[in-house]
Amino acid sequence: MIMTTDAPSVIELDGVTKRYGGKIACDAVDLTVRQGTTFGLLGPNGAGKSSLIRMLMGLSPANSGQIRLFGENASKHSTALRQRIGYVPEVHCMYRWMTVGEILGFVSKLYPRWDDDLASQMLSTFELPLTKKVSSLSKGMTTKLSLILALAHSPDLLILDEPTSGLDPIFREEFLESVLQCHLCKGRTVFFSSHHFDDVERVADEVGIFVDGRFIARGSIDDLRSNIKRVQIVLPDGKLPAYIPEQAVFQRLSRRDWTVTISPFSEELFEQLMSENHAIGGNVVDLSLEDIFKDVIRGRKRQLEEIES
Amino acid sequence: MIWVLIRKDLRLLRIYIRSFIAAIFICFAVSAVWNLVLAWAGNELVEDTRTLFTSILAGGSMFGILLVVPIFSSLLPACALTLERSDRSSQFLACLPPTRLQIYLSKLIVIAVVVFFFFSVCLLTWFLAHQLFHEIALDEVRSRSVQKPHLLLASPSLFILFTLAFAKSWDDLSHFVFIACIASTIGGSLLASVWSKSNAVPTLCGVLTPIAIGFALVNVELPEDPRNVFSLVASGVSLFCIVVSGCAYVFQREF
Repeated sequence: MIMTTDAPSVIELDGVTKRYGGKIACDAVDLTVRQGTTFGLLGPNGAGKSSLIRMLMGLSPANSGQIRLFGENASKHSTALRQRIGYVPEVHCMYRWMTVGEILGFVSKLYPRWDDDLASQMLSTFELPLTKKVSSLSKGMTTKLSLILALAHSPDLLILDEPTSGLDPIFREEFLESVLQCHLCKGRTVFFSSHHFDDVERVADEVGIFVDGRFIARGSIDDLRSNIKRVQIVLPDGKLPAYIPEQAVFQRLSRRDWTVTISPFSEELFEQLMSENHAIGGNVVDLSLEDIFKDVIRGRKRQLEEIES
Repeated sequence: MIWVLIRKDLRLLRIYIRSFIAAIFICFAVSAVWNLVLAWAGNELVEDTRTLFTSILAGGSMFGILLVVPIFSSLLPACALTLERSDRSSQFLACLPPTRLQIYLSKLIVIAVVVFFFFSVCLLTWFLAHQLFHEIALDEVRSRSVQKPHLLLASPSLFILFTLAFAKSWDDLSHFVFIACIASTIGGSLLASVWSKSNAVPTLCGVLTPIAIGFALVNVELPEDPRNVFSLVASGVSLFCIVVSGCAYVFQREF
């Protein structure tokens, strides 16, 4: 994986908002993904991930804001721009009446950089029969075919919309291996959404936690881990937390044990928490990406409930 | 890129194109069977091989031009757009490099080529029937002494009367009327299919478009030959529908 800080930006979102009637799917989203980065978009169902990806693909227009891919306006999606993008959708709507060979033949003619050798290699790796109709392929096989179609034209940007959802662990493993082998090693940009934390942890350089149409946490996995930490404090008998910092993302109290997730975390804040709450004991726990995601989401949910009440 | 799309659209519509071929073939088969049955029943006109052949060709082309071509020129545009929308493969296509204009143009080319190819086949057979009819009529004039009955008046069968009258009418009818009629059918069907998920409504709209134009012109006092006015109006409607449906399709989103 290549982390590039000075590399040109491939994806630029500037105040992008998308509404479906009264519901806001994306709320003034700003994002920059640089060349060579693998960006993992994490979010619960209905967070607006697919809406964001559809706007990136130029399939759905933004109500306001600007989307640029390779510096070009994404809403105009020219043929040349699309030839630089590989896309694996969440739901595969390929021509069901075509065979695997026919669909490869059809799509290959639309891309000048189509690599027949790579396509054949992936076909044999995935054991996809050329003569089989798309309608008779399983979900896993269809996803693999979709990945071949997205990768074989050597795209500069690969967009994956929950590609591993509904796949069994073996298929998922093979799929991620292919993404890693065929794409990441070439230093291309990958933007993928998922709610599988282990997939994201394995593949992504940068992660964005997307909830209710907004990024509520974003950064490299290491940055997220060092910035978001869980503090476990033992309070004196009969005492409630006296000092709750504004950095508290989520908290839970069980008898004397107070658990609070802090973002951004600092040692000074931990010391302050201990002293101002007259803690008997306390420790800092490193969180996995999954724990960070869960705490951030729960905290956000609780915050909204408080606002509503 | 457009050739790739044309090949794909031909494959997409293959069932309907095969049905079109079969329907045209059936027209001539029905005409042939009908005429042979009449010949077998002792109709003296079709006992003559040349007249029998003329009647078969004229009958086939008549069924083709008046029935099969209008139906398929309405069905093909309806299916070209709605088939992809109903199985959501239009969403797959929307993610690929071709622009929506290229996608629309490829469909339009396929529809136009297929419809006008089969229409030309029917026109050609009609022309052949007409030529044969003229030869028979000339022979009839030359050999008046044989006391052969007049070709049209002598026929005891309504079917043969119609087919031979149709063969004769080549000179009298403006062929542009048929072309304009089919073009308006295609236009009407395309326009309706841009907003439809099923092919039933667009097919119906396509068939009804030239009929509606005809009815609209019936009550208007026309300054010149009504056939020319119909042709002009139908062509205009067709062009309008094709352009409007093209613009609508280009700006439409599949998601």
